[in-house]
Amino acid sequence: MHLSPEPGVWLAAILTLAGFSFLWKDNPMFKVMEHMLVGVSAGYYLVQYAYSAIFKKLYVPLVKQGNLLFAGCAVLGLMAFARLFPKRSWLSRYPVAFYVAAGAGYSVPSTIQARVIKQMQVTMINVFDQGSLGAGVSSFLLFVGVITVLLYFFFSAEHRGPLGAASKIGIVTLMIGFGASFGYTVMSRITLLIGRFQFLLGDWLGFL
Amino acid sequence: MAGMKGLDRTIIYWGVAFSIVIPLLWPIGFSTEVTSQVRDIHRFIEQMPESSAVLMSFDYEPATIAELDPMAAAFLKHLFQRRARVMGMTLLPGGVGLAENLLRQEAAIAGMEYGRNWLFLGYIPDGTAAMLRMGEDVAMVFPTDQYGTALDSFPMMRGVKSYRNMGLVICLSSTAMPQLWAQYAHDRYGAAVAVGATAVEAVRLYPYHDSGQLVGFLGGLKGAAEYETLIQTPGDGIRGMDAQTISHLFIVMMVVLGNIGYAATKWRGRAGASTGRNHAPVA
Repeated sequence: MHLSPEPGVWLAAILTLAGFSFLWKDNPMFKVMEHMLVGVSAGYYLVQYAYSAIFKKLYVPLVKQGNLLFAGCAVLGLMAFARLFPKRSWLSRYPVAFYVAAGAGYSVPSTIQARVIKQMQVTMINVFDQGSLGAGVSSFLLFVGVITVLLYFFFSAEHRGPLGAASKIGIVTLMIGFGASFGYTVMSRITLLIGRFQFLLGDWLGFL
Repeated sequence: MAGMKGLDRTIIYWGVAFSIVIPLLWPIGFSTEVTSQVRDIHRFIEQMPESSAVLMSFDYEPATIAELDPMAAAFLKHLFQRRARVMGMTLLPGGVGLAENLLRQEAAIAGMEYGRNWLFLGYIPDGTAAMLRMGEDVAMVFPTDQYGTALDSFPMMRGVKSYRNMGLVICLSSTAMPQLWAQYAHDRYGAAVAVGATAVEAVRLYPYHDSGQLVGFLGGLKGAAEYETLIQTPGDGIRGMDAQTISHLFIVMMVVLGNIGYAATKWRGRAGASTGRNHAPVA
């Protein structure tokens, strides 16, 4: 055992234990840790946004390099704060409109291309020409899964007969997907706990 | 078994804690099987020409370092072994300190020099706009590095203008950023994109790997352990896998016992109803 001599490690260890103490019950140590987290995060984010966005992306090009195009951006940015004044709050809609229009303009076509057309192409393949039996079966299951899940969400006809059977396969496929997703989530959460224990046992107590 | 329903939850907390602590203190050494998603990235980096420029975006914050730091460290070790020129950046404000520390630490271990072998570009707001503009000119998004030095003054940036001049783009993320990197950097500009993602996000990445939009991806701590196995450098990924396996077995056991307890309670309720016991009082 080799206890860490660093005050920062001790502080982090105490705050970690304060976080874990919520499993017992809500208590003052947990509250202190919670408020510190919120306060420190807010301060850290404010500095990062101010330095990276306002200083580097506005002050430097506008004031230091004299690029007046950025004056228009500054005005649009300031208009967003008009929400704080009820009589002038309508002004804040202009920067929002600009942002939504630009965002939709560059994201809609590429989203359709990347997430719909490209994925459809991968589904429309010859399952008998996949190189191996395993790959062929996998492609076939993918094809069946996509079609039956789409049929499950087809509500213009009653789910009876062949449509009912297909939608049942669709819901089984969805359940398998949800199960896999939940399994991954459990794995993710356990990893976070492992990380904390590695820190407590290794960096703090020196057992690892 | 019916008593499982009233089990004190603190027993489960202690069970999970012991199933993690014991394997960490006394490792078992379970082997890690490497999946094709991970092997594809390793093979791609091995086949890249030496000194290729690689953009590495640390799109995660402190909450997920347990999953993503081991991946980032493994990627950096491999890239520095291959003498790649690494440009670090982040699209999340909380990623600045993490990226900077990890880049410095791994560069120091590998003996890499700032500005010649690696660079830290810092944080840029509005990720999608940044991804798009870097397809035209990196210097338009990052005119300087994090510390204010002009990009064109660094020797490693000679000949690096956009994705076209980069061997690989790596995104380490706990959010939906990997899909956006695939959508913009790969689909629009043809960049090769590899991903290290938290396990929660990894499940959404299989279609992107199948479609060729991603070179490959590392999912959760298991992905990090797989990559460490491939580069033969054990790190926190491999060290954490014993604890991960044992704790999963404990959770599976609890789920099975819980379901048996639930079924037993239901069965006893039915049996009680059929023999006239357990009747609810009539108002």
